[in-house]
Amino acid sequence: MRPLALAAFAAWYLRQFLVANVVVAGHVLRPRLAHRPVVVRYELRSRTDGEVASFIALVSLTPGTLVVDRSTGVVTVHAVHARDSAQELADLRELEERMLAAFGRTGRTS
Amino acid sequence: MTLQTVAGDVLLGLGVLLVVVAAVGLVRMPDVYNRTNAVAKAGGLGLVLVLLGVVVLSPGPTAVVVLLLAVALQLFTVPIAGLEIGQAARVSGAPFAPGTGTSPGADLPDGEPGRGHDGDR
Amino acid sequence: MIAQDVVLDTALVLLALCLVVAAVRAVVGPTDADRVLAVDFGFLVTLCAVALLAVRLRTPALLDLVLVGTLVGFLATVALARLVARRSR
Repeated sequence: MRPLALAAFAAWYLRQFLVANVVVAGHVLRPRLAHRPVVVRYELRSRTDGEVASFIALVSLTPGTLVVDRSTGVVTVHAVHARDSAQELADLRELEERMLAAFGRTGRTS
Repeated sequence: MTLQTVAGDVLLGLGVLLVVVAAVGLVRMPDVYNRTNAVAKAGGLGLVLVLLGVVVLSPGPTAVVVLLLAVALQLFTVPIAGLEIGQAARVSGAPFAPGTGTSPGADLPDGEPGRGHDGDR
Repeated sequence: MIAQDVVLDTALVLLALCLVVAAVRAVVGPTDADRVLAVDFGFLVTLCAVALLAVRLRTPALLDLVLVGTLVGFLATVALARLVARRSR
C-alpha cells in the first residue's frame, strides 16, 4: 500500500466526482435535452477481485456512468453523455490506470 | 443568524437542490439507464450534503457519530444499488433510448420482446 | 430562529414534491426497473425529510431513524432489483 499515492488518487477522484455531478445536473436541467448516451464494452485490466470490485464501485459512484453488465474480464458501461464511444473508453481507461497505480499494482493474479 | 446556521443552511440547500435535480431527471430522462444515472447518484450526494448540513446545525457527540456513520454507509451503498438496478434493467431487457451510441461488441438488447417498451423503439 | 424555520419548511415542501414525482414514476413505470428506481428515490427523499424534521422539531432522536433507514432502503432496493432480474430471466 502506498498512502501518498492513494491520497493523490482520492483527491483526483473527488474532483472528477464533483465535476461529473455538475455536468449531469446541467444535462438534466437543460431546456432541450441534448445529451448523447453511449453503451460501451470495456475490457478490464484489473485482475484481482479487489481491483475489479473497486473499479466497478468507482465507475458506479460517478454520476453519469453506470455498469449495466459484467462477466469475466469485461464490463458493459452506460454513460449519460460522451462525444463518442472511443472517448468514453479512454476516460474509463484513465480511471482504471490511475486506480491501479494508486494500489501499487503487485502483479498478483486471481 | 449565526455563522453556524448559515453554513448549515447552505449545505442543506445544496443537498435539497441536488435531490430536486434528481427528481427532475426522474421525469425527463428518456430511458431507465439514464434515469438511474441521474437519480441514484445525484440523489445520493444530495442526501450526504443534507446530512452534513444537519451535523453543522445540531452538533452534539451522538448526532455527529450517527450522521457520519449514515454518510459513510450511504457512500458505500449508492454504487451497489445503482449497479443492481442497472443489471436488473439490462437482464429484463429494458429498451435503450433511440440514438444511444455503442462501441464494437456492446450489443443493445434490440430483439427483446416488448416488455415495458417506451414506444420509442 | 423564525427565519431558520422558514428555510427548513421550504426545504420540506420541496422534498414533498419530489416524493410525488417518485410516486408518479412508480405508477407509470414503464419498466419494472423504473419502479425499483422510484422506490429507491422515495426512500432517499424520506430520509432527507426525516433528517430535516429532526432539526425542525429539535428532536435529535429522529437521527437514529436516518441511520436505520439508510440500511433498510439499501436492502429493499437490492432485494427488489434482484426480484426484477430473476422474474424476467
